[in-house]
Amino acid sequence: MTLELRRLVAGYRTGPVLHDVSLDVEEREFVSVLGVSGSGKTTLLRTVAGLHRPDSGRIVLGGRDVTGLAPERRRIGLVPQEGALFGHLTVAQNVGFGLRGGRWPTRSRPARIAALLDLVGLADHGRRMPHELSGGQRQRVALARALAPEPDLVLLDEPFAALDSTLRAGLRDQVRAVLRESGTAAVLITHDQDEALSLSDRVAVLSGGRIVQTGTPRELYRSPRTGWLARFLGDALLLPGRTDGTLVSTPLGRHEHAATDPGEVTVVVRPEQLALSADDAYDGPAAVVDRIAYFGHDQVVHLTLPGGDSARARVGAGVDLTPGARVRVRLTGPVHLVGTGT
Amino acid sequence: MAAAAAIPLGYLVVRVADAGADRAWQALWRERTWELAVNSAVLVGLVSAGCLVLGVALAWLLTRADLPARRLWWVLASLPLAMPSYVAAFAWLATWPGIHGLWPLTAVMVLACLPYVTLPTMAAFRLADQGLSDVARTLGRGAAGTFLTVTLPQVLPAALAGTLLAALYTLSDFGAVSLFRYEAYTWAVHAAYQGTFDRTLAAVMALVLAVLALLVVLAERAARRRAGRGAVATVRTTAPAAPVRLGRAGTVAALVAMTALAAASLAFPLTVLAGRLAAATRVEIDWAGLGESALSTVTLSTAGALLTVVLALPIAHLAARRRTRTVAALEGVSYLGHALPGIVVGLSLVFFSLRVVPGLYQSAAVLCFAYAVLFLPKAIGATRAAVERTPPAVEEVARTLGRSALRTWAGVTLRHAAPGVAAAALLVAVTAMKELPATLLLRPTGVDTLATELWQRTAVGAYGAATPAALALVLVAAVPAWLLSRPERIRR
Repeated sequence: MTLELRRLVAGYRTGPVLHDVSLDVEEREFVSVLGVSGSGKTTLLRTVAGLHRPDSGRIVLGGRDVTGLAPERRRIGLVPQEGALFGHLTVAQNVGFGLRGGRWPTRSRPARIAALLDLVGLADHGRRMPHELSGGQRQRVALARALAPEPDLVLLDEPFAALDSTLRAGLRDQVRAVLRESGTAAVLITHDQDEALSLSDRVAVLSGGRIVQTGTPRELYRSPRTGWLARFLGDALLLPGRTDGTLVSTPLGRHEHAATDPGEVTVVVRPEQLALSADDAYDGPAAVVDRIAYFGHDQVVHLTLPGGDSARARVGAGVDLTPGARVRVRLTGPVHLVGTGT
Repeated sequence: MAAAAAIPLGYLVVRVADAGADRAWQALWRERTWELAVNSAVLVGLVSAGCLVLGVALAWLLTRADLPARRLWWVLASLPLAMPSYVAAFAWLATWPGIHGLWPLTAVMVLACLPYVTLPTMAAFRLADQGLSDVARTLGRGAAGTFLTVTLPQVLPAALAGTLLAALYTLSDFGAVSLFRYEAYTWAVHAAYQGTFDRTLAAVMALVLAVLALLVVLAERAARRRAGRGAVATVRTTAPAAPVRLGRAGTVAALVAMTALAAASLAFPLTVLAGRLAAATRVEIDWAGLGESALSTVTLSTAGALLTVVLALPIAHLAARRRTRTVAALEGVSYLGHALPGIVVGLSLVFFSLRVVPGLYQSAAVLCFAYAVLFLPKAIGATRAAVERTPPAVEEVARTLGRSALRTWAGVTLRHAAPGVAAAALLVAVTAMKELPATLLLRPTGVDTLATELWQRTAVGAYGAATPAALALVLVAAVPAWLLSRPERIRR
């Protein structure tokens, strides 16, 4: 185990922001903490880094209790938003900033700096000043700087938020690859669920200062614990239903689900679980197409269901539909249930 | 407009050249010249070092430490701007007539110049990126190491710019220097002008003084270039830092130190002046004369401020909007006044008006012009920042909505910039009120401002008679200084 957070409580004069947060990060693992702004994710990051003192709870890093330790003695790297490079130092000096003391004798430093710049693909940029770099390059330097002293853990604070979307995707992959290669465990703080799901080994969802669910991206997307989580992690249609324990009846028909107690439930339907047919090929309920958002690789069809509820179906780009058309809707695969009222 | 700023220095060179190389060399190579230059350099060095160290420490306390009544301390830290150094010097001398020479003078000048360093450094501390300090901590630097390697480089450019102002103020200071009978260069220039009829000597000495001032400017530029690389490109990434808790002992020590500073720079001089005034009521106060001096002080400084702002607006607009080499050069020339001591500008304008426009010699017009030359940089700085507050895109939108370029500028840009322009005018006015050497040389015959009256009375040892003028000056100058120092202005 690399990082163990045990019942952390932290806050400011105005009151606690984190309530009883516990989280584990395994060796070499990449964990995302996903939350909306104000959920406490920045406070969590600052507390783990040692920049904010928790009111109670313990932070254990590689078996050492670091709860009361100053940030400079924790061996936790930090990659802040927009990099926060030292503007008065060159790229190489930035990367070498943390290489001090007996662990890094002066002679060993240039090679270490070169190796890291090479790792992030900026081998020939060592003499540049930070303001001469693009946004993505700055983030890579910030990552190299954080990794240089071989920390036990790296914290990434929304490092991709300020970049435009095309650059973001490429940089995410690069950062993930660099971290995999260096074998360093990492915690990514983000509000972007696509980012969290696509990058992480595991995701922890933080809401109102509490971790509401932790799991692999697959577990979270398929089996969210509440309706709120289902919607937060992706597009979801929440339908009322009644189950006999293994089959649930909804306005869209009867569907299988993992065994549970019979009774009133809420059914989570993902848009990609809905199939549409314009020529009555299915015998499902009929719906009316309101409008279509076409993305090229697929399209999202906004529908009005018989009961008046609206729904969205994500279908292949090959299906030709026009607003106003009547379609048959079929729900495929087993569904996920959450309790009513969530 | 920028050419106006170059007149004094240019004319001084012409005047010296006219006198002939021999006489100029003769005047320059006196042993006395170098003795005086060394005196000035020592004074400037001590005051600059004192202001830099104290100013950065004070700015840190005022922005980062968790102190009670912060706003009160902010105001107290900026109010010494309203206290002319010679008034403070007068207060010390009036209490202990025996103190003279370098060390008391240094203390008085540091107290007077401290806000020049404290105010910009406070702003820099507030803008300094806390994210950088956080990263440095996670990379293994302690709190002190982080301050030295990361925070200090971020505030140093601002602190150095402030120190430059303090150094130039000290180099060109005339009142305090002559009251403490310290043989600095300004004092000697004035003595050469008044005491002998050898105007060439005065002109040569003024030129040397100008060169000294330019050297200070160049030194600051070099230092700032080295320190200032960090000022570029960093984007602020996190919320402002939480205030540092000093603990009980630390808080008490900080409060005691700041109280002592405020006492020495504000409370003590004001108390002495008030006490003197109470004692002087037995002596007849010349209310009419005092009122007349106050009126001419306000009139002259207001006229000077208006002229300065009118000259500054086009330069500031160009500097904010078009970054070409020509504009940069223009702006650079306008900053000459920054480096030229008041006595140099005063003296050169005496020569200039006598030779070129004799009709204007010793008229209010020449004095206002001198104020404009001296304080143009202050006005440009403030005005330029104000113009930059209007994004060019807003002007472009106004143009697409059918406004002409001129109407856009007047109706949009100037409207936005108005508070900044007003602040620039206030700043110039308060500085002009306190200005002594140029006013002394150029004031219209028979007209006295509060500053010249105070100086004349003190010079002959009439401390009691000088008090009303000193007090009136501080009161008059405190109004615009207070307006400028309101906390919301500092915080911005």
